[in-house]
Parts: sequence; C-alpha cells; structure tokens
Amino acid sequence: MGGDAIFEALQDHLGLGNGETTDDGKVTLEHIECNAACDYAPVVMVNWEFFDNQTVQSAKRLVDDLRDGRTVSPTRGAPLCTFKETARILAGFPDEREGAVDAGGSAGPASLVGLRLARGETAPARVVHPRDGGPQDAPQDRAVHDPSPNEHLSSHDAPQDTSASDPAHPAGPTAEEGE
Amino acid sequence: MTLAAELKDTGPEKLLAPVLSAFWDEDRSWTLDVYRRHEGYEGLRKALAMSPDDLIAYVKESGLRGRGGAGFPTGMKWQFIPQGDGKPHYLVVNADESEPGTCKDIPLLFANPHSLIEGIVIACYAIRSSHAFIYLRGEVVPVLRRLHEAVREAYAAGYLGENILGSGLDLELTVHAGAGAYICGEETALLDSLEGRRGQPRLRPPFPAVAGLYACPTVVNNVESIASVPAILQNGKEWFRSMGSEKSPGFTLYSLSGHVASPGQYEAPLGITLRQLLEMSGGMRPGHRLKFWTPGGSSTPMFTDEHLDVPLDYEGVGAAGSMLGTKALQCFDETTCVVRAVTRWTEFYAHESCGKCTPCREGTYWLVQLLRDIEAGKGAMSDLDKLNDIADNINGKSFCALGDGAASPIFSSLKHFREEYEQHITGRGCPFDPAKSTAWADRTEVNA
Repeated sequence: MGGDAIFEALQDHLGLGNGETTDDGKVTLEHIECNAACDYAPVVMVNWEFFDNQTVQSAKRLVDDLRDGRTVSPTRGAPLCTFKETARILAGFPDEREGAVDAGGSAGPASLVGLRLARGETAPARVVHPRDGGPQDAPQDRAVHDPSPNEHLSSHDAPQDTSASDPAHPAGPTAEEGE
Repeated sequence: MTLAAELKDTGPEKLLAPVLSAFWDEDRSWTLDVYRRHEGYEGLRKALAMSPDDLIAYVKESGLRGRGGAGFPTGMKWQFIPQGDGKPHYLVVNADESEPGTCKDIPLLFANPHSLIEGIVIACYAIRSSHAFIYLRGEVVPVLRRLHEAVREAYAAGYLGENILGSGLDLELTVHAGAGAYICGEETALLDSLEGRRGQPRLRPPFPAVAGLYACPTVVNNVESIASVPAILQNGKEWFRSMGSEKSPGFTLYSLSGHVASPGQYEAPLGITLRQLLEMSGGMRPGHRLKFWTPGGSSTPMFTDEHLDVPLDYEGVGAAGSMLGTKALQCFDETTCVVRAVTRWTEFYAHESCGKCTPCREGTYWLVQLLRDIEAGKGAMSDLDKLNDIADNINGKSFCALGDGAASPIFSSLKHFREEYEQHITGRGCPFDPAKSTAWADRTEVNA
C-alpha cells in the first residue's frame, strides 16, 4: 500500500537506518510490524499514537514538524505526550490530562463504513476527518497543501494528500490556492 | 423473513448486522453513559439471574464460537474449567491483536470498551472467577487510555469490585499492556508474558483450562468473543442463532483492507461473501480488479478471485481450503506482486518468531533469505521447491501455530501463483512496479 515507500523516503530524508536516531535526538526511526490498523493503511506511529492514511509527503512533513518542535496531532487518540509519559500509561497509570481520553472522537471513519452502509447512508467516509463528525464530501482536488517553512515546494514525490491523513494541517474550502 | 430470503436481498441494510458497532458513531460512544443508553449491562443482569452452570449451557447453546481465529466454541471452553477444585480461576482476554491484516479488536475497544467489560463480568460469573485480565498489545496507547477509563467507570458504577449488583460476585479486572509481540497472541505465550516471563509458548497438555495463569484453571478468550456475550444474553440465543449458519451462528466483524474502495469494519452475519461485501462497499479501487486476498489475516491460506463466493463462515472457508481466522479480508489488486507480499509477510513471521523451536526459528529465517533473492531476481528454479520444502518442515512441526501461519502463505502462493515466482527467476527480477500498488498511485497529480 505504500509503507515500504514511506519507510524508504524517511530513511533518505532523515539520513537514518532502521532503529537509528537523528543527531538532535528528536526522532528515532523504526520499522514497525503489524499495528492492527490495516483499514487505515499506510500508518505511521509516533509514541504509539496513530497517524493514519499517510503518504510519503505527509510522513516527511510529520518528522520535520517533530524536529522543529511544532505540534502534531494524531489521527486517532490524544495529543502527543513525551515518550516517558507514554511509558507511564503503558505501565498502567491512566492518562490524567484533561480531555485525553475523549480526544480523537468515538471512532475513525474506516471503523464506521459498515455501520453507515447498514443505515442506508452511502457517503464515502474515507476522506473525513474523524473529529469533524459525520460524513461530508471533501473533494480531493480542493485540498490545498500547506507546507512547513522548511519544506521545499518541489520536494514531494507523492501526490497531494487530504486533510484526513494530516489533521495537523487541515486543508479545505477555507484555504485558497496559493495562500 | 428467513435469513435465506434476506440474503437474496442485496441491500447492505439487509446484509449487514451492526451489533457491537451499532453506536460507534455516537458522541463519546466509549463511555458508560452511552453504553447504558444502548441496553448496556442489561445482559449482565439477566446472566446474574441464572445459575453459573445454566449460563455456561446458555452460551454453549447459542453456538458462539471463538472470534480469535480457531473458532472453538466459547461455552465449551468455559465448561472445561473444573469446578469445586479449591483453586482460583482466571479469565484472560486476548487483546494482543497483531496478525497482519487483522484490525477488528482495536476499533472495537476504542469505540465500545464496555461491551468487553460486561462480557468479562458475565464470563467470570459463569466460570467462578474473581480476577480477570485484559492483555492488550502495548502499541495502541489510545485504546489503552479508554480501557483504563472504562474500567474505572465500571468500578465506580458497581459493575466491578465487590458484590456486583448485589449478586455476591466479587471481581477484580486488571488491564495489562504487553510489549508488542505477535507471539503473545498465542494463548500460552500470553500467559507466560502476563506472569512476567518472556513470551514463549508452553508445552500442552496441560491446557490452560487445567493449568493456565499461575498454574490455575484459566479461560483465554478473544476480545470479540467475550464482547459478543452481553448481546446474546440481552437478545436471546434464538436471536443469535437466527443469524449465520447452523454451525457458525451469529454476527461478526469483517475487516476489509487493502486495495478496496472503502476499507473498514463491516459487521454482518457469518456466511456473507467477499463479493457481497465488495459490491456494497464500492468494490476494489476504481479501474482495478481483485488478484488475491486473505480470508482471515496473513496466516490463512490466500484466496483468488475464484473464491469470491465462498461463504465467510468457519465451515465455508475451511471447505475451500483456508481458515476464517480473524475475518481480516486483505484484498490485493493486479498491481501487487505476490512474491513481494509474501516476502513481507514472511519477514514479519521471521521477526516475530520467538526462537523457542528450531523449525520456526531457522525455517522462517531461511524462507526470508530465499524470498529476498527471488524478489531481487537472484533466485534459481530449484529455490521454489526449496521454499516448499522448508515450509513443509515448519508446518505441523513447530511448537505453536506461529510456524503453521508462516508456512501457509508460502504453500498457497506457490499453489495459485507459481508462474509469478517463475517470472521473477527467468526474468531476473520483479515484473511489477511497486509504485503502482501504493495507496496514492491513482490519485490525480497536484502540482505543489
């Protein structure tokens, strides 16, 4: 589906091999095995939070944002915490942050496709941001790229992505081409 | 209307049956409030009004079978627990979902964790257990967060703890996050891991029902199996048996993924076909056709477009030469190289092999070496027989089912696509362009 392409592109982009860490200590790149999210493939995880429906371009921007200290938001789940805090949750201590359990909505769009069909709703739920609630048409051709400052505009080797896979950079009818 | 008549009607409203997923689209669906609005914990009240033995018999008569892959009758598993033996009994829920393609328990626990908790209380009442565990894989922190919160809510509301709903039942529920190993989905390896040891399968017998967690009688059930129990109690075993077939009754979650137009979860009566699921959901991605697919994750022998009408229940898939497994329908279109897909799966098995037994540890290692050579155009014709031979030395000869799972994509791909392997060898490389099989391959180019 593209996981190999994303992993290779990130290795090139960061100049890292599998399991290596950038000089600034911000990003460690690791090849992950099955993460029970094939319905959102390809998936990248940061601190065990889901970043669904990624492309080469969105994954590169994700690591750039992480290295520059910009806020990134997972597609499903709570805002990122430090890995130390993640480890505490894994050890059995509940996440006490306000709204952390609520974050990400009830279910991602792919989790709801069958339910919507069973109800007689036919709108494709694939390109909908889970936090925006119900299905809505988000034509892909209207998605506008909002590049990070350090991203070279011609550096993308993947086509344009939609806001569904990159909630940190919502792009939609409110943004005009060229803004 | 009978089910047979219903199945003739091809509308998705008729073919699908959302039960566990029925209110996933509601705001805060994972909370106790929303769950109770949808008859949550009502099944528990009915269960507590029965005697434990009657309850086991009821679940057995419903025909519920394990949703984790093997399809073992859930009620029978509960019945195996010796009673009056003076030992503690345990229920352990296997939430170590990590088979490539499988993605049902994670959305279920994310959107509706209370169905599992209610099922756990019912099961523990039946097998007379006062301590249950949920073994969740550690890499899914969003799900872990909600499980922590749901368990807290259940304790606060008196569904867990002492004297649950005045029944005299005491139950402690522990959520345990594993460290993310596929082998820990094997039930005895899971128990070792839960006890704090390295996750490796145990020799059986004794089976967990006799000597499981801490050498005490233990039931290990899949998330979806246990989460299905409250609905059976609430709506009745006849209702449950009205769906699916005689031997595979009920509803289940099918997970469509891969090169399909609408990947995701489809809850339907057992016995639906991939053709029906694809027709209602928009089929393969536009302009492409199905090449091969797995009925239940990568360790179930692959199917091709000849098998579109196989009823997806335990018997139907078994009769067609595969296994229902976890109902993970990974669909690949004609842009996908079979050799490449099988190589990736085999790399997964080699990575996840625990190393306890030689056939699996060495066999998966050598399979990867051979497959990588073939994929890179460095293979010889004799390598194909060698692949088959190595897989044969793993299958049935390894310590646990991980080895069998590693062998099945090799056997089934050689059976259906031997020519494609041969092309890699004679053509000295892969005839496919991997860029064409990416999720974004067909999206219109946008200048940026």
